Amino acid sequence: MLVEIDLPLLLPNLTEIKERLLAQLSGGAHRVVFTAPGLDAAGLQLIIALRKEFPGIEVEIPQEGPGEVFRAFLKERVVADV
Amino acid sequence: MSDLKNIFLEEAEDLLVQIEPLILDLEKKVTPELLDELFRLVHTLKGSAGIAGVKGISKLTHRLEDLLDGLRDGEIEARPGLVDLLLIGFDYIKAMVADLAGGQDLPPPEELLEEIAAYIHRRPPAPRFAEKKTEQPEEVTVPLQAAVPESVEHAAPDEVRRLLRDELYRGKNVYHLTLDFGLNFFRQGHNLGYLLEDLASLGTIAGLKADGRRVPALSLLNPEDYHLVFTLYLVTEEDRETVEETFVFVSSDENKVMVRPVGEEELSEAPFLEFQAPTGKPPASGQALSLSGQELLGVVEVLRQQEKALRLADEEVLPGLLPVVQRVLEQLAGRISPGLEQSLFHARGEGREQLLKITGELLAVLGSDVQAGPEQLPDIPAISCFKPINAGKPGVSGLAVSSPEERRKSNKISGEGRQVAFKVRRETADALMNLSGELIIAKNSLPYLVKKLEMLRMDEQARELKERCLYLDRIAREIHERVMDIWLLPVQEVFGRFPRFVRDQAKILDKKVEIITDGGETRLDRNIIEDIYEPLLHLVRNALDHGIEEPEERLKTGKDPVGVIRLAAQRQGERVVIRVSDDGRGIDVDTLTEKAVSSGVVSREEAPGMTTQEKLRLIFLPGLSSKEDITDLSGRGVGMDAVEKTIGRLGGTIQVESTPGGGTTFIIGLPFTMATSEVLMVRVGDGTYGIPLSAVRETVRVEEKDIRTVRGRPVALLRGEIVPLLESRLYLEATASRQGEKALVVLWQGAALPVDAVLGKEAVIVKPLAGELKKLAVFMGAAVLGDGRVLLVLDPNEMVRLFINARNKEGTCCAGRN
Repeated sequence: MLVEIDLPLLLPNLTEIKERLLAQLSGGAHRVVFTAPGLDAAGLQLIIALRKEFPGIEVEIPQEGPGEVFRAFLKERVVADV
Repeated sequence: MSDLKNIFLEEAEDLLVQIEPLILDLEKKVTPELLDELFRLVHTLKGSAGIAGVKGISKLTHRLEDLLDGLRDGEIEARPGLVDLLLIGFDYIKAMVADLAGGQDLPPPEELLEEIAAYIHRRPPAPRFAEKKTEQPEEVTVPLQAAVPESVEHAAPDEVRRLLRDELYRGKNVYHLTLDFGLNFFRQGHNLGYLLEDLASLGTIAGLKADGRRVPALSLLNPEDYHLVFTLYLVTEEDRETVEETFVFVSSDENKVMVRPVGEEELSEAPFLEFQAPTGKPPASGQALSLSGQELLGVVEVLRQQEKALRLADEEVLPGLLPVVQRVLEQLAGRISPGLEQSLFHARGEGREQLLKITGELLAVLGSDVQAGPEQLPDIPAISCFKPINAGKPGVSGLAVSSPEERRKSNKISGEGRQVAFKVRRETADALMNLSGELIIAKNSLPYLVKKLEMLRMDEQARELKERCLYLDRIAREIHERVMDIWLLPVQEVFGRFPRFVRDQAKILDKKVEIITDGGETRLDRNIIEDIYEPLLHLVRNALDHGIEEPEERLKTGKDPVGVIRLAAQRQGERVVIRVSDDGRGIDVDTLTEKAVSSGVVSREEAPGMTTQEKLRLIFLPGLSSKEDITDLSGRGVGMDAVEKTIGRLGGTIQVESTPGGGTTFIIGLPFTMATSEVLMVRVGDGTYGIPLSAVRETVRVEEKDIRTVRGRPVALLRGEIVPLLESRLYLEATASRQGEKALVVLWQGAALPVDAVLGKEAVIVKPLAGELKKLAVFMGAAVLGDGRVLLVLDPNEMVRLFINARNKEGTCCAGRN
C-alpha cells in the first residue's frame, strides 16, 4: 500500500505530515511518496525518525526543488540506523 | 561580467522588491514574524552576494543583517529612525546593484556602516522581543568547545581526503567543522540551509555528513525539536576566524560549533583511488560519485556523444578526433571521481577501441548500461529525478528501487500541483510574442482559402481544409494564450512602487496618508506596465499634494486624520481598469473653471452652460491646476494633459469623478495587451476599417427616430442616454448612410461611430503607419488580413479628439467624454 504526501518536507508542514503518516502507516502501508518538492533539515530529520519507527518503509522524494544539500544526505550518508 | 554576477543581479532585484514593503510594514507594527521574514530575505541577499563575489553589497547586507538579527533576538530595541535607516540602507544597496550592473563593485559608504553600527550598539533590551539572551555579553563570541561525541567522527572517504590533500598542497586552508546545535535551533529561527550556503560562499564543502542517532522515532518526534549533528570539511582561502564568524549569530551555550584546522598528516594516509573493474553496477558505498543529479545526467550525455562520435567516425577524421575524445574523457573521469582519470588512462593508448572501452567503463561507473545506446537515455532522468532514498545502502531493509514504470508514475505524481517558475529573457519573450502573432495572421489566411475553394465548387477540399483550419485554430489560440501568459505581468509590479513613495512624500508634506492597493494580481501587457508608472505617479502625487488635506483640516471636517489613497485594478473583458482614488477634498470645479476662463481656454459666456463633467475634464487641458499654491511635489500645474496623452498612446482612456469634500477618482481604461489586438471590422461607405475591440463598449442598431440634433450636432438616444455621434467625414472620405436603421459602434470614450455594417471581429497585429501615412493621426496603424488585404485601424481617442476640436472651432464648448 502506498501513502502519498503532497506537502513539502519543510518545518511548517511537519506536524501535519507526522500526523498523516502515523495515521496512514498504521494501516499497513509500506511505501511513502512525497510528491511536493522541498526539503529542509527538519524534513530530513523527520525521514530519519520515520525510518526508525517503520524500518521496512520505502520512502521517495522528488529530486527537484529546494533542499539539494539535504537530498544528498538521503542518498547514503545519513547515519540513522544505529 | 560572470554568470554568477548576472544571476546575482536578477536575484538581488527580486529580493529588494520583496524587502521594501516589509520595511514599510515595520512602521505599522514591529512583529517577530516580520523581522524573521525580513531577516531571511536579507540573509539570502547577503549569501548570494557572497557567492557571486560581490564584496561591497555583501559587506553592507552583512551589517544590515546584524541589525535585523539583533532586533529579532531582542538585543536591539526598535527605536524611532529604524525604518528610515533600513530604507536608506536598502536604497544604497539598490544603487550598488545598479553600479554592479555597470561593472562596478563599489564599497558601501563608511558613514552608513557607522550609522548602522551606532544603532546596533545602543542596545537597551526591548521588552517586546527580549524573550531570550538578555543575559548575554555585549560582544558575541563563538563558543568553540568540542561538543560532539567521538562516535560521530567518521574517516573521510578516500576521494574526499584526496581532494582535501590536493587543496592543502595548493596552499588552501582545510577545516573540519562539527555543528552540534541545541534542541531549540529551529525555534530560534535558524536555518541550516542558509548556514551551509554561507559556508559554501567561503570555499568548498566536502565530506558533509549528518548524524541522526539522536533523532527519536516518528511518534516521539516533536518536529520543532532539533536533533541532528553535522560534520563537514571546508576548503577555503579564509582564515579560521572568518569561518567562525559564519556562526556568530547561531553559536551559544546550546548551539555548539567546532572549527578544527586539518593538517597534511591527517590526510596523508589517503591511498590512491583504485579503479574497480567495471561491473555495470553503481560504485559501492564509500566510493560516492562527486556529481549531483543534473551533473550526472550531463556527464552521461556527453559520454554517449563521445561514444557515438567514436563509432561513427571515418578513418580519415579519426586521427584528429581521438586526442580530442581522450581529453574529454579525462576531464569527465576527473569530474566523476577525482583521480579516476589517472587510473583509467594509465598505460593505455588512444586508439578507437581503447577509448570506446574507457567510455564504456565510465558509463558503467555511473551505473549506466554501456550497451543501452543513446535511444535509452530517456530512462536515465527517471533514475536521478526521483531517486529512492535508500538506494545504495546495502543491508538496510526497505530499499526503494523503483521500476521504470513506477518511476514514471511517481514522476507524474510529483509533477502534479507543482508550480515551477523560471525567468524568460526579454528578447525571448519579444520573439515568442511576435511569432505567436505571425501564427495568428497565418492562421487567419486559411478561412479565406476555404471561401475560395467553395467559390470554385471544390466542396470536398474546402471541407477538408476547414477541418484542418479548426484544428490549427485551436492550437494557435492555445499557443497564443500560453505566450500571453509570459507576456503579461501583474499590475502589482507597478503598484508595489507606491507605498514607499507615499510614505516618503507624506512625511515631506507633513500629512498622514495610507495607501491601499487592490487587484494587484490583474495581468497587463508588460509594455503598458512599463509606461503606466509615470501617469499613475502623477495622479498619486496630485492626490498627496492637492487631494488629501492636512490632518488638522481633516479632523475639523470630521474625517479620519489619516487620508487614504487607493490603487485598484480590475480586468473587464478586453480591458483593464485602474482606479486611482483619494478621500481628500475633491476638485474645486469652480476654481478650475475660473482658471480656464482667465487663461482664455473657455469664454466667460460659455462657462455657465458647462456641465460638472465638462468642467472636471478641464483638468486635462495644458497648464490648468485647481491648487492655488505650487509645490515641489506636484510641479507647476502641468502634467494632467501629459497623463491623458500617455494613456491615449497606450490605447487607453481616462475619466475623472470628484465629490467636493469626498475625494477624487481617476478611472483609467487600458487594453490588456498591445501586442495583438482584436479589432471590430466595420464598413463605412466603401471602406473597411478596424476599431480596437478594447475601445468598443457595444454595437447597437438604432432607428432613425432615435437620432436627434443637440446644439447643432447629431446625437443618439440610447436607453435614455444622449451619446454624441462621431462624424466620420472629419477624417474619412466616406460617411455612413443616413437612411433607415443605423448601426452604431459605441466607444468607451462616450461617443458612437455610425457605420454601414459591422463585419465581425478578427485578431490582428497592428503595425504603426510609416512615412507620409504617419500624418494620418486618426489611424493608429494598419494590419494585414488573412486574405492579404490591408486594414486601416482607427484610433478611437484621436477620433474623439478631432470631433471635440471641430466642435470647439464652431464655438461649442467641450463635450463630456464620459
